Amino acid sequence: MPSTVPIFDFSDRRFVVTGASSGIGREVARQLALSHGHVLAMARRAELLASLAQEFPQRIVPCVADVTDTAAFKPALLQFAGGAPLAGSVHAAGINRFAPLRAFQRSEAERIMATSLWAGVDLVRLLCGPELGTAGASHILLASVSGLKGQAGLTAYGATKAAVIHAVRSLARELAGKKIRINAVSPGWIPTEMTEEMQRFYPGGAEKIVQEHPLGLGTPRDVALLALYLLSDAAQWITGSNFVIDGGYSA
Amino acid sequence: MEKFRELFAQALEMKTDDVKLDARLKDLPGWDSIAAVSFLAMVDGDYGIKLTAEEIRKAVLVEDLYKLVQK
Repeated sequence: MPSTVPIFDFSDRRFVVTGASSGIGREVARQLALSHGHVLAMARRAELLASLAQEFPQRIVPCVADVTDTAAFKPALLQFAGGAPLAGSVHAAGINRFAPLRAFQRSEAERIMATSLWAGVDLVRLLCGPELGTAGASHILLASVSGLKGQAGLTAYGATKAAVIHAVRSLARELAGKKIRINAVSPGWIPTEMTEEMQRFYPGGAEKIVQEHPLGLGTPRDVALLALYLLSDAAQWITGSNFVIDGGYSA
Repeated sequence: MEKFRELFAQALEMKTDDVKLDARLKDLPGWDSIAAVSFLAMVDGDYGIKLTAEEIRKAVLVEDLYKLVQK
Protein backbone atom coordinates (compact mmCIF):
# COMPACT_ATOMS: atom_id res chain seq x y z
CA MET A 1 0.00 0.00 0.00
CA PRO A 2 1.29 3.50 -0.78
CA SER A 3 2.36 5.35 2.32
CA THR A 4 0.20 8.30 3.30
CA VAL A 5 3.09 9.98 5.10
CA PRO A 6 4.35 12.73 2.80
CA ILE A 7 7.92 12.36 1.56
CA PHE A 8 8.37 16.08 1.03
CA ASP A 9 7.52 19.08 3.15
CA PHE A 10 6.30 22.09 1.20
CA SER A 11 5.02 24.03 4.23
CA ASP A 12 4.54 27.72 3.45
CA ARG A 13 5.31 27.21 -0.21
CA ARG A 14 2.91 28.24 -2.94
CA PHE A 15 2.61 26.54 -6.31
CA VAL A 16 0.56 26.86 -9.46
CA VAL A 17 -0.74 23.71 -11.13
CA THR A 18 -2.50 23.84 -14.50
CA GLY A 19 -4.67 21.08 -15.90
CA ALA A 20 -5.61 20.47 -12.29
CA SER A 21 -9.15 19.22 -12.86
CA SER A 22 -8.16 15.70 -13.87
CA GLY A 23 -5.38 13.20 -14.52
CA ILE A 24 -1.78 14.04 -13.69
CA GLY A 25 -2.40 17.72 -12.94
CA ARG A 26 -5.06 16.89 -10.37
CA GLU A 27 -2.81 14.34 -8.68
CA VAL A 28 0.13 16.78 -8.57
CA ALA A 29 -2.14 19.29 -6.82
CA ARG A 30 -3.29 16.61 -4.37
CA GLN A 31 0.24 15.43 -3.57
CA LEU A 32 1.44 19.00 -3.05
CA ALA A 33 -1.45 19.59 -0.66
CA LEU A 34 -0.69 16.33 1.18
CA SER A 35 2.89 17.62 1.52
CA HIS A 36 1.57 20.80 3.15
CA GLY A 37 2.01 23.02 0.13
CA HIS A 38 -0.50 25.60 -1.07
CA VAL A 39 -1.78 25.27 -4.60
CA LEU A 40 -3.55 27.50 -7.07
CA ALA A 41 -5.31 24.82 -9.09
CA MET A 42 -6.12 26.00 -12.59
CA ALA A 43 -8.40 24.36 -15.15
CA ARG A 44 -11.47 25.13 -17.22
CA ARG A 45 -13.93 22.80 -15.54
CA ALA A 46 -15.33 24.42 -12.41
CA GLU A 47 -17.09 21.39 -10.92
CA LEU A 48 -14.06 19.15 -10.99
CA LEU A 49 -11.90 21.91 -9.51
CA ALA A 50 -14.46 22.49 -6.77
CA SER A 51 -14.38 18.84 -5.72
CA LEU A 52 -10.58 18.97 -5.59
CA ALA A 53 -10.63 22.12 -3.48
CA GLN A 54 -13.22 20.51 -1.19
CA GLU A 55 -10.77 17.74 -0.43
CA PHE A 56 -8.15 20.28 0.75
CA PRO A 57 -10.02 23.49 1.62
CA GLN A 58 -7.05 24.94 3.49
CA ARG A 59 -4.51 24.19 0.80
CA ILE A 60 -6.06 24.25 -2.65
CA VAL A 61 -7.50 27.39 -4.22
CA PRO A 62 -9.50 26.68 -7.39
CA CYS A 63 -9.04 28.98 -10.35
CA VAL A 64 -11.35 28.43 -13.30
CA ALA A 65 -9.44 29.74 -16.29
CA ASP A 66 -8.37 29.09 -19.84
CA VAL A 67 -4.66 28.47 -19.45
CA THR A 68 -3.91 29.98 -22.86
CA ASP A 69 -5.33 33.33 -21.72
CA THR A 70 -2.51 34.52 -19.47
CA ALA A 71 -3.82 38.08 -19.14
CA ALA A 72 -7.18 36.82 -17.89
CA PHE A 73 -5.82 34.71 -15.04
CA LYS A 74 -2.97 36.98 -13.97
CA PRO A 75 -5.07 38.81 -11.32
CA ALA A 76 -6.00 35.48 -9.70
CA LEU A 77 -2.34 34.54 -9.66
CA LEU A 78 -1.29 37.78 -7.98
CA GLN A 79 -4.06 37.45 -5.42
CA PHE A 80 -3.03 33.88 -4.60
CA ALA A 81 0.59 34.98 -4.19
CA GLY A 82 -0.48 37.73 -1.78
CA GLY A 83 2.61 39.83 -2.45
CA ALA A 84 5.07 37.00 -1.88
CA PRO A 85 6.95 35.07 -4.58
CA LEU A 86 5.79 31.63 -5.68
CA ALA A 87 7.83 28.46 -5.18
CA GLY A 88 7.07 26.95 -8.56
CA SER A 89 4.61 25.47 -10.98
CA VAL A 90 3.58 22.37 -12.85
CA HIS A 91 2.06 22.94 -16.28
CA ALA A 92 0.03 19.81 -16.86
CA ALA A 93 -2.69 21.30 -19.05
CA GLY A 94 -2.76 19.58 -22.39
CA ILE A 95 -4.95 18.22 -25.11
CA ASN A 96 -4.41 15.39 -27.53
CA ARG A 97 -5.96 14.54 -30.86
CA PHE A 98 -5.27 11.43 -32.81
CA ALA A 99 -4.85 12.40 -36.45
CA PRO A 100 -2.94 10.58 -39.15
CA LEU A 101 -1.58 12.91 -41.83
CA ARG A 102 -4.63 12.56 -44.07
CA ALA A 103 -6.85 13.63 -41.16
CA PHE A 104 -4.51 16.45 -40.12
CA GLN A 105 -6.19 19.73 -39.21
CA ARG A 106 -3.95 22.68 -38.73
CA SER A 107 -6.29 24.49 -36.35
CA GLU A 108 -6.34 21.43 -34.05
CA ALA A 109 -2.56 21.11 -34.20
CA GLU A 110 -2.14 24.76 -33.29
CA ARG A 111 -4.49 24.37 -30.35
CA ILE A 112 -2.44 21.44 -29.03
CA MET A 113 0.76 23.48 -29.34
CA ALA A 114 -0.82 26.59 -27.81
CA THR A 115 -1.98 24.68 -24.74
CA SER A 116 0.95 22.43 -23.90
CA LEU A 117 3.82 24.60 -25.07
CA TRP A 118 3.11 28.29 -25.39
CA ALA A 119 0.73 28.54 -22.44
CA GLY A 120 3.41 26.84 -20.32
CA VAL A 121 6.16 29.17 -21.49
CA ASP A 122 3.95 32.20 -20.88
CA LEU A 123 3.06 30.96 -17.40
CA VAL A 124 6.74 30.55 -16.58
CA ARG A 125 7.38 34.07 -17.89
CA LEU A 126 4.82 35.41 -15.45
CA LEU A 127 6.12 33.32 -12.55
CA CYS A 128 9.74 34.31 -13.12
CA GLY A 129 9.03 38.03 -13.46
CA PRO A 130 9.67 40.69 -10.84
CA GLU A 131 6.34 40.22 -9.04
CA LEU A 132 6.36 36.46 -8.57
CA GLY A 133 9.87 35.18 -9.31
CA THR A 134 12.32 34.13 -6.65
CA ALA A 135 15.62 32.27 -6.31
CA GLY A 136 15.07 28.60 -5.55
CA ALA A 137 11.82 28.31 -7.47
CA SER A 138 11.27 25.24 -9.62
CA HIS A 139 9.02 24.81 -12.64
CA ILE A 140 7.90 21.75 -14.56
CA LEU A 141 6.36 21.44 -17.99
CA LEU A 142 4.64 18.13 -18.71
CA ALA A 143 6.00 16.50 -21.86
CA SER A 144 5.50 12.88 -22.96
CA VAL A 145 7.32 9.87 -24.36
CA SER A 146 5.45 10.90 -27.52
CA GLY A 147 7.97 13.72 -27.73
CA LEU A 148 10.84 11.23 -27.89
CA LYS A 149 9.49 8.44 -30.04
CA GLY A 150 7.55 8.75 -33.27
CA GLN A 151 3.99 7.45 -33.09
CA ALA A 152 1.69 7.22 -36.11
CA GLY A 153 -1.23 9.60 -35.79
CA LEU A 154 0.43 11.73 -33.11
CA THR A 155 2.34 14.22 -35.25
CA ALA A 156 0.95 17.34 -33.60
CA TYR A 157 1.03 15.95 -30.06
CA GLY A 158 4.52 14.45 -30.45
CA ALA A 159 5.97 17.56 -32.07
CA THR A 160 4.45 19.68 -29.30
CA LYS A 161 5.93 17.52 -26.56
CA ALA A 162 9.34 17.44 -28.27
CA ALA A 163 9.13 21.23 -28.39
CA VAL A 164 8.33 21.32 -24.68
CA ILE A 165 11.42 19.22 -23.91
CA HIS A 166 13.57 21.60 -25.90
CA ALA A 167 11.96 24.79 -24.62
CA VAL A 168 12.89 23.65 -21.12
CA ARG A 169 16.57 23.42 -22.14
CA SER A 170 16.63 26.99 -23.43
CA LEU A 171 14.66 28.35 -20.50
CA ALA A 172 16.91 26.55 -18.00
CA ARG A 173 19.92 28.42 -19.37
CA GLU A 174 18.07 31.73 -19.21
CA LEU A 175 16.73 31.22 -15.73
CA ALA A 176 19.84 29.77 -14.10
CA GLY A 177 21.14 33.27 -13.41
CA LYS A 178 18.08 33.87 -11.24
CA LYS A 179 18.63 30.47 -9.56
CA ILE A 180 15.30 29.31 -10.94
CA ARG A 181 15.09 25.74 -12.23
CA ILE A 182 12.89 24.25 -14.92
CA ASN A 183 12.54 20.66 -16.10
CA ALA A 184 10.34 18.47 -18.27
CA VAL A 185 8.64 15.24 -17.22
CA SER A 186 7.77 12.69 -19.90
CA PRO A 187 5.32 10.03 -18.81
CA GLY A 188 4.40 6.91 -20.72
CA TRP A 189 0.79 5.77 -20.87
CA ILE A 190 -1.08 6.70 -17.71
CA PRO A 191 -4.77 5.82 -17.53
CA THR A 192 -6.48 9.22 -17.33
CA GLU A 193 -9.44 10.87 -18.94
CA MET A 194 -7.23 12.00 -21.80
CA THR A 195 -5.69 8.60 -22.54
CA GLU A 196 -9.05 6.87 -22.18
CA GLU A 197 -10.30 9.10 -24.96
CA MET A 198 -7.21 8.20 -27.03
CA GLN A 199 -7.57 4.50 -26.45
CA ARG A 200 -10.44 4.09 -28.88
CA PHE A 201 -8.05 4.87 -31.73
CA TYR A 202 -5.93 1.84 -30.97
CA PRO A 203 -7.07 -1.37 -32.59
CA GLY A 204 -6.30 -4.03 -30.01
CA GLY A 205 -6.96 -1.31 -27.45
CA ALA A 206 -5.82 -1.38 -23.88
CA GLU A 207 -4.14 -4.77 -24.01
CA LYS A 208 -1.61 -3.76 -26.63
CA ILE A 209 -0.80 -0.54 -24.81
CA VAL A 210 -0.20 -2.43 -21.57
CA GLN A 211 2.13 -4.88 -23.33
CA GLU A 212 4.30 -2.01 -24.56
CA HIS A 213 5.04 -1.02 -20.95
CA PRO A 214 7.22 -3.71 -19.26
CA LEU A 215 6.12 -2.60 -15.79
CA GLY A 216 2.50 -2.21 -16.89
CA LEU A 217 0.73 1.13 -16.92
CA GLY A 218 1.61 3.86 -14.45
CA THR A 219 -0.61 5.96 -12.25
CA PRO A 220 -0.96 9.73 -11.95
CA ARG A 221 0.59 9.34 -8.49
CA ASP A 222 3.79 7.84 -9.97
CA VAL A 223 4.23 10.94 -12.09
CA ALA A 224 3.17 13.34 -9.35
CA LEU A 225 5.82 12.07 -6.94
CA LEU A 226 8.55 12.61 -9.54
CA ALA A 227 7.21 16.12 -10.04
CA LEU A 228 7.32 16.75 -6.29
CA TYR A 229 10.94 15.64 -6.17
CA LEU A 230 11.83 18.09 -8.96
CA LEU A 231 9.96 20.88 -7.17
CA SER A 232 11.78 20.16 -3.92
CA ASP A 233 15.19 21.42 -2.82
CA ALA A 234 16.47 17.84 -3.11
CA ALA A 235 16.62 18.54 -6.86
CA GLN A 236 18.52 21.83 -6.47
CA TRP A 237 21.23 20.83 -8.98
CA ILE A 238 18.80 19.70 -11.67
CA THR A 239 17.67 21.97 -14.46
CA GLY A 240 17.01 21.80 -18.19
CA SER A 241 16.49 18.06 -18.07
CA ASN A 242 13.77 15.74 -19.24
CA PHE A 243 12.69 12.93 -16.95
CA VAL A 244 11.19 9.88 -18.58
CA ILE A 245 8.80 7.93 -16.38
CA ASP A 246 7.27 5.19 -18.48
CA GLY A 247 7.51 1.75 -16.85
CA GLY A 248 10.18 0.79 -19.38
CA TYR A 249 8.24 1.78 -22.52
CA SER A 250 11.26 3.45 -24.10
CA ALA A 251 13.83 0.99 -22.73
CA MET B 1 -24.40 11.24 -48.11
CA GLU B 2 -22.05 13.34 -50.24
CA LYS B 3 -20.22 14.54 -47.14
CA PHE B 4 -19.76 10.94 -46.03
CA ARG B 5 -18.39 9.91 -49.41
CA GLU B 6 -15.91 12.79 -49.43
CA LEU B 7 -14.76 11.98 -45.93
CA PHE B 8 -14.45 8.28 -46.64
CA ALA B 9 -12.48 9.01 -49.82
CA GLN B 10 -10.12 11.27 -47.92
CA ALA B 11 -9.53 8.61 -45.26
CA LEU B 12 -8.63 6.04 -47.91
CA GLU B 13 -6.86 8.49 -50.21
CA MET B 14 -9.14 7.56 -53.08
CA LYS B 15 -11.37 9.56 -55.44
CA THR B 16 -14.82 10.50 -54.13
CA ASP B 17 -16.42 9.30 -57.38
CA ASP B 18 -14.99 5.83 -56.77
CA VAL B 19 -16.73 5.43 -53.40
CA LYS B 20 -19.50 2.82 -53.77
CA LEU B 21 -21.68 2.14 -50.76
CA ASP B 22 -22.14 -1.52 -51.65
CA ALA B 23 -18.41 -2.20 -51.93
CA ARG B 24 -16.82 -4.61 -49.48
CA LEU B 25 -14.26 -2.81 -47.31
CA LYS B 26 -11.74 -5.62 -47.51
CA ASP B 27 -11.78 -5.39 -51.30
CA LEU B 28 -10.65 -1.75 -51.20
CA PRO B 29 -6.85 -1.44 -51.53
CA GLY B 30 -6.77 1.71 -49.37
CA TRP B 31 -8.64 0.16 -46.44
CA ASP B 32 -5.96 -0.43 -43.80
CA SER B 33 -5.44 0.47 -40.15
CA ILE B 34 -4.30 4.02 -40.91
CA ALA B 35 -7.37 4.55 -43.12
CA ALA B 36 -9.60 3.21 -40.37
CA VAL B 37 -8.22 5.48 -37.64
CA SER B 38 -8.20 8.42 -40.05
CA PHE B 39 -11.88 7.78 -40.68
CA LEU B 40 -12.40 7.65 -36.93
CA ALA B 41 -10.59 10.95 -36.41
CA MET B 42 -12.47 12.68 -39.23
CA VAL B 43 -15.86 11.46 -38.01
CA ASP B 44 -14.96 12.99 -34.65
CA GLY B 45 -14.34 16.39 -36.15
CA ASP B 46 -17.02 16.50 -38.87
CA TYR B 47 -19.89 14.61 -37.26
CA GLY B 48 -19.02 14.90 -33.58
CA ILE B 49 -19.56 11.16 -33.27
CA LYS B 50 -17.14 9.18 -31.14
CA LEU B 51 -16.74 5.76 -32.70
CA THR B 52 -14.21 3.16 -31.59
CA ALA B 53 -11.72 1.15 -33.62
CA GLU B 54 -13.71 -1.96 -32.63
CA GLU B 55 -16.99 -0.62 -34.04
CA ILE B 56 -15.29 0.15 -37.31
CA ARG B 57 -13.66 -3.24 -37.48
CA LYS B 58 -17.08 -4.91 -37.48
CA ALA B 59 -18.17 -3.09 -40.63
CA VAL B 60 -18.24 -5.22 -43.80
CA LEU B 61 -19.60 -2.85 -46.44
CA VAL B 62 -18.89 0.84 -46.95
CA GLU B 63 -22.58 1.27 -46.21
CA ASP B 64 -22.07 -0.11 -42.69
CA LEU B 65 -19.78 2.82 -41.96
CA TYR B 66 -22.34 5.21 -43.40
CA LYS B 67 -24.92 3.77 -41.00
CA LEU B 68 -22.54 4.28 -38.07
CA VAL B 69 -22.33 8.00 -38.71
CA GLN B 70 -26.11 8.27 -39.14
CA LYS B 71 -26.72 7.12 -35.57
